[in-house]
Amino acid sequence: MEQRTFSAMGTTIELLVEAEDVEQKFDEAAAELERLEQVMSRFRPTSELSRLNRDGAITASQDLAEVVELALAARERTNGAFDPTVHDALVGAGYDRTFAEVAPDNPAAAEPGRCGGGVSLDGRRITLEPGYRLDLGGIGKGFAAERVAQLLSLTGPCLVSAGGDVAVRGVPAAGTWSIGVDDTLTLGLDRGGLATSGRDTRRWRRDGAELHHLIDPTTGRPAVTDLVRVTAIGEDAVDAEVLAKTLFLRGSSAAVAADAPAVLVLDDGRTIRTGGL
Amino acid sequence: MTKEVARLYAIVTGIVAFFLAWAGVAAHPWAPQPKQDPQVAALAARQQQIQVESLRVKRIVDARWTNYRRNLAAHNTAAAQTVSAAPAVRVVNLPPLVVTRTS
Repeated sequence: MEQRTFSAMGTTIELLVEAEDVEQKFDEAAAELERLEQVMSRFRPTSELSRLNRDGAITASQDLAEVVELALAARERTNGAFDPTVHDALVGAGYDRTFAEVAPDNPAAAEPGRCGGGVSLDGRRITLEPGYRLDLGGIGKGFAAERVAQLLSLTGPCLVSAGGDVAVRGVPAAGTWSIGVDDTLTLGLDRGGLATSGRDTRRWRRDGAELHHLIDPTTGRPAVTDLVRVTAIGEDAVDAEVLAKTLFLRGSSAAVAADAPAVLVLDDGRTIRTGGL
Repeated sequence: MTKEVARLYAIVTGIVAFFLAWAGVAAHPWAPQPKQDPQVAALAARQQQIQVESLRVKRIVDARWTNYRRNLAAHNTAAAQTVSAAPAVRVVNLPPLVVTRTS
């Protein structure tokens, strides 16, 4: 098993391929991630997404149009729980620069931001409702993981982890892709995707209040929930990312009732497995 | 019957016989039948050959179309089974290759 770990898209990227002489493919994968980051990062002033947020409308690349289409479809099927127009709410909460640069504590109070803005997609033409901007952080990582997994699969069975978003192609000789969820639980993923969303890592304080990066679109503020972290399994990394975030926002009762394949970690320390796990 | 009437019948019969004889001579029944134009014959043969070939091609196309439809249905069935089978996950007792963390 060949492996490469590096930083990109504000997180740790891990590439695993069951094949030999894959250094060139790893280089291509890293280049593809860099290219996608230049398309979707809200922290790069020259990115395509930043241009869209600045101008309000652009004729986008195929990649950006595709991610926006995925995000809008997710918003539709989750009844707005997953929302790509949370950019200003994130900025209002204090997540206005790369996470490494966000001050861990700041006396200034957080401000709520408007969510649920209109986004129209006509071919590759994207138009935002005035006053709204997009953040594609989570779904963008899922999209990138799937894209790179597709690239690496030409050499052999592979796994791509972009932070919490995992995409796999093929099955390794061990019979499954073993993915650690916590110290005591390991899941074997044969196909599909897996993603983890939570408030245990990307968090900071404003005016004494602890905040995190998962915005509840109904309030425009970081979600208040009894869940600390959700690991969900979906048809692919994008689907898993949307599911994890949606379950997190809905809280443990609704997440258990949904009975999707997921591992829920509650703030009282309990871990609940759902969906037959 | 008077002589005049008999003479009239004879004249009419003679006229009818004359015209029948004229028509018979004008039809040239003794003339040989004209030979068929070789170009027309060739065209007729070609037409028949094309009809036979078109039937053969139609049979081949029909067979290939049926085969294509059958393969397409099998492909769609396999694709549907693949989609319905994904994802596949279970708890395992293996050392983790990677650890998922909050993104």
